[in-house]
Amino acid sequence: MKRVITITGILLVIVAFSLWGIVYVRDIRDSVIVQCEQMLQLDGQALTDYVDDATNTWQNHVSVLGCFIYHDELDAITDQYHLLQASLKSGDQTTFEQSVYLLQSLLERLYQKQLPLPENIL
Amino acid sequence: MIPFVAILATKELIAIFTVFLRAGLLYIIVIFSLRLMGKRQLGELQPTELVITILISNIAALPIENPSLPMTMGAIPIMVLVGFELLISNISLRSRGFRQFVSGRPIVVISHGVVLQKALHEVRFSIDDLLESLRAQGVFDLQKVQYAVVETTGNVSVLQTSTEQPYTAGMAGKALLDNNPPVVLISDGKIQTACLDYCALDTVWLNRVLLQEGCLLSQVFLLTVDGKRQYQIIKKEG
Repeated sequence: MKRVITITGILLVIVAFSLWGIVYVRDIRDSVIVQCEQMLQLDGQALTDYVDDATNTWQNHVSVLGCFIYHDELDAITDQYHLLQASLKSGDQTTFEQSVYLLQSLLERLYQKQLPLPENIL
Repeated sequence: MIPFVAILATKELIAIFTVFLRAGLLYIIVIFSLRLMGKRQLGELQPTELVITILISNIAALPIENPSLPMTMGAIPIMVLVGFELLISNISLRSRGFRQFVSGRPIVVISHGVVLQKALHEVRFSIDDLLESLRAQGVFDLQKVQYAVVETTGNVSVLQTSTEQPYTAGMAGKALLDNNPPVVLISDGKIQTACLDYCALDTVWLNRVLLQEGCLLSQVFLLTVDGKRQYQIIKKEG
């Protein structure tokens, strides 16, 4: 009985952790979508500062997300942030806008992958 | 060029250290999960236990060899599988029908020296497999087997005909007293307190024995004692 109670406790912790993970990724996705909309409205130094802040914020999230999400997926998003910074420096507006949309799409995909949907389970 | 090599070397070292830590953590998780499954797991495996053991070993290997895979992706499936195993074994303990569904049931394959071919086919044993199992138990003649049963673990239990069974004191009508097997009281100069309690002995008795044998506690390699307080002592060499 002791074992059953122990494993039940562990499984409950896992379920709670999974639910928390979904909520955490959803919150990040929402905040990144807002960030992306802001990026498309700003310009000049304000935009550069905003993108730098957003990149730093993402780097902080990565340390937590890395505990339960494949690192390759996180690396792909980090690369997009770096591409945003690089395209801003080079003044390549087209690449910048493409990266913003791609970033939104990657975050959305990341969130969708966390959900217990049939396509993810099967 | 040199700084680049230095950075590369550092990153490589970090990756190796990560793998080292992951391997250690997963080792602890796997040991913990096997302990949770119970000691039965370490002996003969039931079909469900075999499946779980194979799955755990495979899952544990993934995060160790791939650092881009989160540790939780290894730990969570292991814990979930152990959870299911414990659930299944608990239901099996309570329900005979469920136990038979999951683990199968023992099947008689030889009855009074006759091989039951249908039963043998059911357990997918060839006659060679059966004969091999019999030989492993010292039985070389089918006619001397009263019953042979294939257990749920795949082992074959054999009951030989009464003429082939060893002659026992019970058969001779003699009543012998059961004697407790010897237990270890001193191992490599250290007293096994639990065994001392088990034999209802104390250190006074032990000191008297050591005095009789003329040796110190630290000089004793092994001291065993049985239910009649008859002891055997082996002193350390050199």
